Amino acid sequence: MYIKIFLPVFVCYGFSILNIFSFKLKRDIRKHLSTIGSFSVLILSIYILRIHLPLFNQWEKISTFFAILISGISFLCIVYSQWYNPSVNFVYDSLFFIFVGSMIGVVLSSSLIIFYIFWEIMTISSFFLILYENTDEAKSASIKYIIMTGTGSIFLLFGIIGISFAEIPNLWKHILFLSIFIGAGVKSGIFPLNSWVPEAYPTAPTPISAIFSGIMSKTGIYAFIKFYFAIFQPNWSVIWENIMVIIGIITLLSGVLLALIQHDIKKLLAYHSISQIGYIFLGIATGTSIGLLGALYHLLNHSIFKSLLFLGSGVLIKLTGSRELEKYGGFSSILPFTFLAFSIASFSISGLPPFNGFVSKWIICQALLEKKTGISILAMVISLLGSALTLASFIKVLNDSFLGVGKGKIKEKISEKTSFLIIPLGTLAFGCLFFGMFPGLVVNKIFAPMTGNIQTLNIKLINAVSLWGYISILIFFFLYIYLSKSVKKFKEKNVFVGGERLSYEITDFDGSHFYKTVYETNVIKEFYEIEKKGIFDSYSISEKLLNFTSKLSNKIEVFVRDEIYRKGRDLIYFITERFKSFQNGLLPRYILWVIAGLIFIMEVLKRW
Amino acid sequence: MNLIVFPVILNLFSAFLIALLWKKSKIYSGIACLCFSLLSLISVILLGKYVFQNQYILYYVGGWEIPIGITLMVDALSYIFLLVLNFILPLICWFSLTYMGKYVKSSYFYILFSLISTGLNGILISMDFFNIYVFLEISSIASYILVAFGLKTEELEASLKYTMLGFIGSVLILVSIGLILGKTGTLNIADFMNIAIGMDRIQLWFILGLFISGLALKTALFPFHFWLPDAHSLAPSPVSAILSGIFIKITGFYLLIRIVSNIFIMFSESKIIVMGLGLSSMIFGALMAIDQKDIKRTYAYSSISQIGYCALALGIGGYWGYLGAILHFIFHSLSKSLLFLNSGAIEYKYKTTKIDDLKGIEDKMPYTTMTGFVGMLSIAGIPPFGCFWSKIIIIISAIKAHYYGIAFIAVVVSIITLGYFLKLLRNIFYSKDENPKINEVNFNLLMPMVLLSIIIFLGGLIFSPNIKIYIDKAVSVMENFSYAQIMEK
Repeated sequence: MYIKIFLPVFVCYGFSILNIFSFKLKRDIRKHLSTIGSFSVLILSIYILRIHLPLFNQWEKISTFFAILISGISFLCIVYSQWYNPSVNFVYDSLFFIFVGSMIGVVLSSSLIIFYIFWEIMTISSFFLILYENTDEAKSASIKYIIMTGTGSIFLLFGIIGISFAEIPNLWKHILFLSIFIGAGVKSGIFPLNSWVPEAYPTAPTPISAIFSGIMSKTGIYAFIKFYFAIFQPNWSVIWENIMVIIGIITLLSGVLLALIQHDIKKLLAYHSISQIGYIFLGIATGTSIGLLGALYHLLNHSIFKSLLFLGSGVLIKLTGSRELEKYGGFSSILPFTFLAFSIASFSISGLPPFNGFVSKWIICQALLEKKTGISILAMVISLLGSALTLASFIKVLNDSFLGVGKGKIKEKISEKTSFLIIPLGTLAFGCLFFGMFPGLVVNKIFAPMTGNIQTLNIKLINAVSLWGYISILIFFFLYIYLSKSVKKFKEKNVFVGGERLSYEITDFDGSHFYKTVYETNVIKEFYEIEKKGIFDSYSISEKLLNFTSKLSNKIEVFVRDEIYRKGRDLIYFITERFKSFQNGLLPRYILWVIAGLIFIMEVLKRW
Repeated sequence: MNLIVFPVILNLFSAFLIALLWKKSKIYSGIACLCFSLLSLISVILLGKYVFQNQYILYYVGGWEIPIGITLMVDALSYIFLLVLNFILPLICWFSLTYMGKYVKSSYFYILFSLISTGLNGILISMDFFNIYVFLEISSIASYILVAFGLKTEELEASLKYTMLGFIGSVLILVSIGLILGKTGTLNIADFMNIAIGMDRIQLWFILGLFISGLALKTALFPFHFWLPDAHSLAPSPVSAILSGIFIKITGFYLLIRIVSNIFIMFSESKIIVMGLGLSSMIFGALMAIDQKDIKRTYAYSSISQIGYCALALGIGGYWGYLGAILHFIFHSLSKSLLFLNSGAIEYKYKTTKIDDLKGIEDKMPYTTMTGFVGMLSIAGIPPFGCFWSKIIIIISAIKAHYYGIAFIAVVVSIITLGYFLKLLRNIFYSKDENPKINEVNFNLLMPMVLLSIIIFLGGLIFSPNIKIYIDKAVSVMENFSYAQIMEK
C-alpha cells in the first residue's frame, strides 16, 4: 500500500510524542491538544482514504471502513474523557494515541508482518491503559489480559507464518485456521477465550472501556474476516463453519445469561459485549455476502451503542463513585440527557425497531435463514431469544439506575451541560437512530461495495428493513403525540396498605433481586452453577493445568536430583578415585603402563 | 615451489638470530620472534593458493629426485594443520611478550619457542620418515627444556618424567623407522609405499605396532598419557598452550592420521586400535579432570579427554569421522590454547593456579572471565561455540557407523566435561571475594585471548559452504590419498 495511507497512524504517534513533551503544559491546554489531535486523525483518515477509495478493492474498502470507525469512536471517547477524567496526566493521553494509532495501523496494513507489529503495539499499549488506575483489581485484570492476548498473538503469528507459505497441505490448513481463529478470537472475546473480558473492560478507565468494547474487540473481528474471507475462502470447510456457528451460539447465549445476573454495571456491559460479538460471529460464520453484510453492520452498530452505553455508565460512575447497580436509582431527573442517550442505546442493543440493532440483527437472522441448515435455523432462534434476554437485562439496568424513586447517593455534583459530554453522547445516540432509520441508504452507500457482489444481496430484504424503519418513525411520531397528551393526565395519590402509609424505600423494588427468578429457572440455574466452577474460563483452566504440570515437573526434578544425579555423581567419583591411583607419580609405574600398552597393541595387530 | 620451506627456514633462522644478536634483550628477542612467526604465517597464507589449486605441492630439496633427496610435500590436510599452527603461534608469542617478562632469561624462551615452531612446521611439510623423526626430536627436546623453564623442583621433576617417557616414544618411532629402512631400503614415504604394496603384512605389523605406540605416547592416549598432566600443568602457561594446543596434535595426532589412513592402508584394524585408545582416553581424561585442585591440571586432563575425541573420530573413519576429527582438532587447538593463556593471565595476577586460592575473578578481570567462559563452554560443546559443531559431527559419525554405544559414551563424556568446567566457572570466576587489589591484565595478555575467543565464538561460520570446500579437501586426503600416486607421476 501507499505510505500516504499510514498518515493517520503517523499523526497518532506524533501526537503521542507531543503529549510526552508537553507534560509541563496545563491540563486545560493539553485537553484541547488531545481533542484537536484526535479530530485531525479522524479528518485525515476520512480525507486520505476518500482520495484513494476508488482504487481500492473490496478488502481495502473494509479496511477503510474500519479505520474511519476507529478514528471516529476514538475521537468521541477522547472528547468524553476530557470531561470524565480531567486530572489524567500525559501518560494517559500518550498511551491513548499509541493505542488508537496502532489500531488504525492494524486495519490499514496490507503486509501481514506490519499487521502483526501493529497488533503487538496495540496489545501492549492497551495493557498499560488497563493498568492505568493501578488498583489491585487493575493489576490482576491487566496481567490476565496480557497473558491471554499474548498467547493469542503467538497463535496469530504462527498462523501468519504458516499462511505465508505458498502451498499448504490440507491438515496444515486446518491447524493454521485454528490458530488464526484463536488469535483473533482472544482479542474479540469469543466463547472459551473471553475470561479476560469481564475483568479488563470494567477495570479500565471508562473511555478506555468504551474503546475496548467498541473498537478494539472489532480489530479481532477484522482480522478474522480478512483471514477467513480473503485467504481461506468461505465455505472451504463445512466442519469449521458448523464449529463457528456453535461457538457463536454459545458466545451469544453465555454472554447474555451471565449479563443478566450482574450487579456491576460495567461488568454487565462487558458480558453484553461478549454476547454481541456472538451475533457478529454468527453473521461471519454463514460465509455469504449477506452474512458478511449483517456482521459488518452489526459491528458498526455495536461499536456505536456499546461505546454509548459505556460512556453513559461513566456518567453514573462519576456521579456516584460506584459501579454497583444497587447504589443507583432515580437519576433520570438529574441526568435527563444521559438517560435519553442511555435508553436509546439500550433499545438499540436489545434490537428494538427503529434503532440500529434491530436492522443488523434482522440481516443476520436473514442470512442464517438463507443458509437453510438445521444448525443455522437453531442459531437464528437462539439469537432471537438472546435479543429478548438482552432487553430484559437492559430494562433492569434502566430501572435500577435511572427510574424509580431516588435512592442513589450522589458523591459529586456534575453538570451535563458541557460540550465535552454532549458531543460524544449526542453523536452516538444520533448514530443509533440514523443507522436504524435509513438502513437502505446505509447498506447501498456504505456496505454494498465492501460485501462484494451486490446482486447476491436480497434487495427486497433491504427494502423491507427500510420499510420497517419508516414505519417505526411513524409509530414513534404517533407515540410521541399520544404520550405528550396522556402523560399530563395523571393523578397523584398516597399509597396505603392496611391503613398504613408506606415509605418509598419499600415500594421501590430492586431490579437485581427481581432477576433472581431468572437465576433459579431450572436449566439456566444449572448453567450458572457450572459457570461458577470456572469450567468455561479457559484462563483458570490453563492456570490449573500449569500448576499441575509445575508440580509434576517439580516431582520429576526432585527424582532426577535425588536418584539420578546424586547416584551418578557418586558413581563417577567412585571411578575417579580408582583411576587416581594410576597417576601416582612413580615414573617406573608409568613406564610399565607404556609397555603394557605397547604389548596390547602388538597383540591386537598380531592376532587380527 | 620455494614457499614451502619458508615456515621452517624462518623459524630456524629466528632461533639462531635471537641466539646470536638479542640474547640479552628481553624486548628485542620477543619482538623478533613475533615478527618471524608472523612472517611464517604470511608465507603459509601465500602457500594456500597453490595447495588448493593442485592436489598437493612437492619440493625437491636441492633438485634431487625422490629416492635420493629430501622431498617436501604439502597437501590439503597438512595445510590445514600448518594454518592452525601458524595462526596460534604468533598469538602465543604475543602473549609471552608480557608473560615471560617475569623470568630472568626470557630470551632463551624465544629461542626454544622458535625451535618448537621449526620442528612442528617441519613435521608438517616432510615426506620422509627420517626427516619427520628429526623435526620431531627438535621440537620435543625444545619442549623438554621449556617445561623445566621455571627451574622449580616440581617443574624439573615433571620435565624429567616427560623427557623419559618422551624418549621412550621417540625410541619406539626411531626403531620402527630403522626397521622400515632395513626392510625396504628407503626412507621416503612415497617410495616406501610403492615397495610396501607388494609386501606381506606379516613383515609390517611390528613396524605399525611400534609406530602406533610411539605416536600414541606423543599424542598422550590412554595408557601412554601419564607424562602429560605433570608436564602441561607445570610448564609456563604459554608453553602449556603450545604443548596442549598444538604440540601433541602435530607430533602425535597428525602423524597418527598419516600412519593410519594414508601409509599403512592395508591394516584396517589399526583404526580399531586407535578408536579403542581414543575412547579410553576420552573417558579417563574426563573422569580425572573432575577432581583436580589446580586449574591447569584440569585443563591438562581435559586435553587428554579431547584428544581422545579426535582419535575416536579418526578411528571411526568415513567422511563424517574424518570431518569430525579435523574440526575437533581445529577448535580444540584454539580453545585449549585460549584456556591455557587464560590460566596464564590468572596466574600472572594471582601468582597461583590453585582452585582453592582463586575466587571472584569475574569482578576484577571481566575480559579474562569472558574469554575463559567462551573457551570452557566451547570445549564442553555448548552450541554457538566451535567445539559443539565438531563434537556433534563426531557423534553423528559414530551413529552413522552404527556404534551407538560409543555415541552415547561421547555424549556422556561431553556432559562430564560440562560438569567440571561449570565447577571451575562457579568456584573461580563467579564467586564472591573481597580482595580488591587485583585488576584486569594488560593489552598484550588480553588481545590474544580475545582474538581466539572471537574465532571460537564464530566457529559455526566454518560451515559456510565456501570454507567447507577446503576442509572437505582435507577430508578427501584422509579418505583416499595415497603416497603411491606421487611416484606414478
